[in-house]
Amino acid sequence: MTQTTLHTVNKFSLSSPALQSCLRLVLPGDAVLLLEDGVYDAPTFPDRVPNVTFYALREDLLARGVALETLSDGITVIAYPEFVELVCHHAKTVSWF
Amino acid sequence: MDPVQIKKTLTFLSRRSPYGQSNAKSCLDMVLSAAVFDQCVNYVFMDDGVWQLQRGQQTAGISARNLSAAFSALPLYGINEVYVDAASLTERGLAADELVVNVKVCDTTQIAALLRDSDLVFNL
Repeated sequence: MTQTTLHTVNKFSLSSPALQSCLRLVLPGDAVLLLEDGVYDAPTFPDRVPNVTFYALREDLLARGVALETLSDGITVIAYPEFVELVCHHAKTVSWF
Repeated sequence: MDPVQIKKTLTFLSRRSPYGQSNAKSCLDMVLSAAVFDQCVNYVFMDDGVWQLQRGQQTAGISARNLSAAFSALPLYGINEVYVDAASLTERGLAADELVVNVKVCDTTQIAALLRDSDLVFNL
């Protein structure tokens, strides 16, 4: 069985190459979670990579005033409990910071 | 009673430049520690991390220890090969044969596969 990876990105794409480098290295079945300043990229996040699921952390979106209605269908808003589930579901977590 | 021997594949992704922040040095320290504890180690340089491999670093003027000098000792720890992201080299105008150690140049697919096949990835 293939081992999938959860990638977390906590920096805005204009401040750091974290998101860009992460997206270069994702594989089908992987998940990408935007959290902390990474949620600033959520509104401009279309379906960029097939077979990769994208998430954004609700608490960080709300804290930063990112309107949930502006997010596309390509990104799923989750809260901390689902974050934990994602970590448990994937074989490993790679943090991009 | 002997401790249980755990052997894992650890990939260290070093993505920051050598001086100005401690990530590069921390990464090297972790790589060496993992090797000393007999782990299977992949040392990968990407993004600004490739600057660590630049030849001719003379750090006396900034009162810093020359990080690149440490890489020649990697074989002593059983690390005979380091991996470098091709795109990161090209973006920065670096040539693989002009670096401080011999490297294995990898494309995006190869590095992605390396991550997937590891038990743990340290990304700093």
